[in-house]
Amino acid sequence: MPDHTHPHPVPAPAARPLRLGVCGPVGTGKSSLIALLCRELSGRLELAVVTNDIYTDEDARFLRSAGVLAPERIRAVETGACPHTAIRDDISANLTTVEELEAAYPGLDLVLLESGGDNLTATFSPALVDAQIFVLDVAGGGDVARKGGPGIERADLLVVNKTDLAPYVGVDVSQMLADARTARGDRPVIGLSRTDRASVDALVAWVDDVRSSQAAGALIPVDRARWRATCMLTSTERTARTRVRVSPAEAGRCRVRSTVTLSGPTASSLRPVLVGHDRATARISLVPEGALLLAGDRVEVDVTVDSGARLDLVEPGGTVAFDMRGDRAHWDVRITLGRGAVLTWAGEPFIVSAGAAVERTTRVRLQDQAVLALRESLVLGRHGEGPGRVHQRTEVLSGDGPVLVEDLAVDALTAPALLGGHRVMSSVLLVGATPPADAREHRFDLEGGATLWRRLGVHAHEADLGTAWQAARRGAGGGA
Amino acid sequence: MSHPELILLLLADARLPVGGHTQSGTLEGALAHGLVAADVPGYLRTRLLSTTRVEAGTAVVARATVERGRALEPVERAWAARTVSPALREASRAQGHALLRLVRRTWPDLARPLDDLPRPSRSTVLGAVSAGLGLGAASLARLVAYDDVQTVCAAALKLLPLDPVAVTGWTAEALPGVADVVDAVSSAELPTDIPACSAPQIEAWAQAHAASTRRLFRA
Repeated sequence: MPDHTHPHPVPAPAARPLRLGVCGPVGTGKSSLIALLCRELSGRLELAVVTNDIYTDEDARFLRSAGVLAPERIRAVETGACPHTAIRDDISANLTTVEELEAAYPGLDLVLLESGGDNLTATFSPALVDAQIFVLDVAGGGDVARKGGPGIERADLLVVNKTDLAPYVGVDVSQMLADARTARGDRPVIGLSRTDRASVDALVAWVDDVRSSQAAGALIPVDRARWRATCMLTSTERTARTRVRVSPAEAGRCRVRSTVTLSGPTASSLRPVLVGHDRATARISLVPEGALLLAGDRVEVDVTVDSGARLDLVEPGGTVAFDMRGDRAHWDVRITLGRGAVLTWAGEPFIVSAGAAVERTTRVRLQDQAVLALRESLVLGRHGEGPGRVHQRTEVLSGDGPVLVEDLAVDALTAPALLGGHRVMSSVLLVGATPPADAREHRFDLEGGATLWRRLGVHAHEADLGTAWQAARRGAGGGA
Repeated sequence: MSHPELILLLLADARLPVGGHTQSGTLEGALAHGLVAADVPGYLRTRLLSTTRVEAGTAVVARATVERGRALEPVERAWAARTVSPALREASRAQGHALLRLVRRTWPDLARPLDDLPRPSRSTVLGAVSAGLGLGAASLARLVAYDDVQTVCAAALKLLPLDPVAVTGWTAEALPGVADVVDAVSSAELPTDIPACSAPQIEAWAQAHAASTRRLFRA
């Protein structure tokens, strides 16, 4: 199976400057945007620029002539006939140039990389840049944002440039921005014009945000493209492995490392998005990328919280396992908690549609004094339909031995008996902490220092465990 | 030691003074939550696919553990981690206590491996003594599963107005399910081999039953 692992160990705070990529179609204003950033930031930051051009160093000359930066801090990489390749597949020429600049100017804060003008599919390799901006402009057509593509949908920032030109080219800027926001979910979009001070301030503020995330060691560069022309699937199974590891920091914010590994271009995955963090605690949202969960999908989530750190995991919404027409999917979670580590995971409903067949495993290892608060909700069948098949295995081991081992196989035949005709089973598991004295309903006290709340219902609200979850979160030392 | 078949008959006999009459296999809790007489055969099948496998597997592994001269504590722990309901753990330990009392008086040497466990479950006790009694793993699994069926059926006769012949018919119908349990668990050797098949609804009923008043059966 081809393996496209991109390990992104986030460097120690301020170990190297932030590398920020700028790409987008020809003529959208990438060079101008970089010139703008240089003008805005060069007073307080040490900057360098790498440009990519097909045959020439024209962009570098433009920037040098703009006088926004010392000429020797602007270097050109000639990409030949394929600007894609130089920023994504064979990044060696760009990487070499970045490293030369970093060596020549030890105090650098920010390296801006401008890709050659390309089409809508261009994205930077996460091994080259820490974050990337995709640039469109209103003059390229009002419908471009709606068309989408990897850069438009998944770049860290989408800039819709030259908004001041909209009246002259007959484009409705607000519609274009709305299209872009629809395509991007919660990722940021800025409508930019050099003549609109507020928009320039928004861009600069975004760069500052990214810089502070990186300086704190918590920026998670992720692959923004999931097409790979070189990748041929050899089986119908698609694996997406998400790894998250949180370690405490001596100073500053805790270290958050993540990788997303895809077996091929059609694999959907869970993308870890850092929502917030401080010295010992990180909060991460596991955001689905692509359609989950389909026949042949194998989703693997590997979460490690090191001794003394805390991770709060949330999910933006539930997961639906769709009709698999005789095939099946896998969903494997592995959790490792170091001594005194804390993990809370607020799982959203996992819905097993009629015709779906899912093998689900959850394996947890806790060292001494580690605490786990885990919420789950299993829903058999979407509204008004029968249950699919799900085989759910759970194994929770502490230093002393097993705490909870459970093997639940339900389908249309066994669900009525095992779940008493209920469609929804909600669970809250607290390990390693004493539960608050309240929340006694639906509670099963396990041995080995664990508590399980479990509730069955025909409808989701009948299986609600809100009180238990708040109690478990309090038990895990978090706010309710 | 007596012939293993005689030992099996002795242990499977409802007249064995180990408090079996106090148990309904959660049938009383199930009936209180809406099950009716016609559901009982299905209830038996569900148990044979879930909780009964945990019990039979635990007994088989306890037997193998004593044969190897290992400590029983990890077996008991594995059983507890697979038995979510505190009410069901308590019911099993109460039965284990009664069985251990019988074993200590009747076959004192066989009780020794259990000396280090404060309150062993019924399956751990049964499994631990079975090797010394000459019972093989399959016989032991058969005993545990059959006993579960008879526990539910005997309780059904007390809880529902039924013709006892009809109830015996349910027992007979459930025997292939008993044989399936034997196939599934008799080769287990280590605590990790014990099946972990759960039945969330039975566990919820068991908890509700333990908190109810005016019940006929302890569990």
